[in-house]
Amino acid sequence: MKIRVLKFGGTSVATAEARRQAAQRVVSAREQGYAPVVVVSAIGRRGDPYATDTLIGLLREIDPDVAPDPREMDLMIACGEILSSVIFAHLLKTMGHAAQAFRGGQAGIRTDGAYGNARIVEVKPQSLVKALSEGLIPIVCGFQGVYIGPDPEPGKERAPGAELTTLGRGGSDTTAAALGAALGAESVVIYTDVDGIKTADPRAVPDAVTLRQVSYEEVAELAHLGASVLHPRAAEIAMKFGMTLWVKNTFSDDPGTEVVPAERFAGRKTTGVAAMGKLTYLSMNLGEVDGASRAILRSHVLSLLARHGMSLYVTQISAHGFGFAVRRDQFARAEALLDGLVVPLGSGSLALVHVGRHPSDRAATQAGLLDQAILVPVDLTESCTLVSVIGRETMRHPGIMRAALAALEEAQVPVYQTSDSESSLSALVPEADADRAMRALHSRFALTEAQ
Amino acid sequence: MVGSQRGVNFSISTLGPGTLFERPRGISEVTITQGVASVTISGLEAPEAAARVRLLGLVADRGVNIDFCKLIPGGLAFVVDEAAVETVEQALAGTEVTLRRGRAVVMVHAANIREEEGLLASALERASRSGVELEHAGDMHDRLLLVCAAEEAERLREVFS
Repeated sequence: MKIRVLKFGGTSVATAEARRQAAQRVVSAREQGYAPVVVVSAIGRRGDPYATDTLIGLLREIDPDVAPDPREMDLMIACGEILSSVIFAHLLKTMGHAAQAFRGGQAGIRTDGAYGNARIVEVKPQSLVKALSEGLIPIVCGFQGVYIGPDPEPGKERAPGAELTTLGRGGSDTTAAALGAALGAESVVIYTDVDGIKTADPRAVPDAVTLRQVSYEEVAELAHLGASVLHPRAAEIAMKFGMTLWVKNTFSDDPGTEVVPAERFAGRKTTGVAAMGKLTYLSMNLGEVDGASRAILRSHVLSLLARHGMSLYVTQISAHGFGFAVRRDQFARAEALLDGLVVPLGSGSLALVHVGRHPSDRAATQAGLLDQAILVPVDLTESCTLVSVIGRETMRHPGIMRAALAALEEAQVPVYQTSDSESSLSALVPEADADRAMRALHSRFALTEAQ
Repeated sequence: MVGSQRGVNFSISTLGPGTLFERPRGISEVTITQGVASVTISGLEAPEAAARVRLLGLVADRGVNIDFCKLIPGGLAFVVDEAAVETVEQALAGTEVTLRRGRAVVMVHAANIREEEGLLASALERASRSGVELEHAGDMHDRLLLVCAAEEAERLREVFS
């Protein structure tokens, strides 16, 4: 008997009726001769009583100025999947199918110790194997695992218990893929509320089409650049173990999208378009700084940003400037770090960084005290997003950047910066224009003809 | 492991210990692509967006593939295969352009380099402290790309080892 892992996202378990339809998928897999292993997300989405975002809100609303401890936050948000798994297991029981709920750790998911963004380091699925051998359907909490820590020093005992960790956004997909690999599953099916992987988000591009087959590489690139149907870490695990993934709709009989190795499907010229991020672009004008000092200033700024854990996007270095984007939720921290920053450039000269059009009190005070400092203005472009075209073969053709920029110019979408690789091309555009930009690129690259 | 479910036998082959499921955090590899030239176009007239499209068209019409395109104030920059330099020079005749042969692209590979907090900033900081002149930088979700003089590429790679 072959194992099939079925993962149900938040909308697939959001209501009693949705859960019944999801459970019917499990029963159907069993009737087809598979031994099903189920992975569930928390019930519902933002605003629903047990959704992950709701649980986060319960901690944050106590005092928005005090960040919850990451360990406590993981304990909190893991409750959503625990509730979901127990309810789903009981539902199956009422339908005449014995099932057993497992927390991530009980299912053998071992992670590193990065609370909130843990990575799977090992899977020991013996408890699931035992449950399967007893005729039970395991229902596993997605998105979570445990951190056990390094082996204790000789003569010392291991600390009792294991620390609960969560895998970050999209973690339930990652759980499903890792369990599929560890159990040697025939396939992993990601059930969601859309028909499969599409050429674009249909909310932005109404004529987006469902792709019937995609390669791991295509889907990983799409997911990394913002397509939200399948998490890229799940695609990467499936790719590593050569395991077939499906993305299907819980609520329809559409055949869905099959994700396969490149040997079975080499991919298409252009795969899709996607948008990601709420970003602020910072462009540092180094025109007044001499060549040797530019590297000093840049490394000083980067060191600060790195120490404070800032994520950067679309970096750019040129003879006269240095630019990068930060997430909007990190911008206030970036601004506080940089505005009014004084950097010694060597040979007694100083640079004073000034962010935006209006100097902060700190920057103004510093400017008053340091009248000999070289002023380094940082221009801000707020409310940006990164819109991308994905397509390995398309990227090899001369003129791809011209075609993309021309399409955006015709659609009157300003482009602040670009980024490209052998499989994708991205443009930083105003967030308000993101949908129009996606439609323009989708049309220019004839993605309605993709299948 | 062998078991049975509802009277049907099945076998499960679980993976051995030490199996790596996810790519480890941090920098995994640094690779170098030699034999490229950098092209920097400046002095574009307004509207810059239209001027950029027109100039990229001149290059594309000659069949030259460009990589690593970045917008800079009043212009744009990209790299091409060194063998295409003369073609690019002809295509952009009459334009304010700086061509630098003998460049290399140093690619710093790291899973999720943008999202892992501080990782991209840290990698770029190390490159900036290396003493190697960075002429150009860019990033994708799994790598940082740096352009420098070909003879400096190994030195740049070493700062990540």
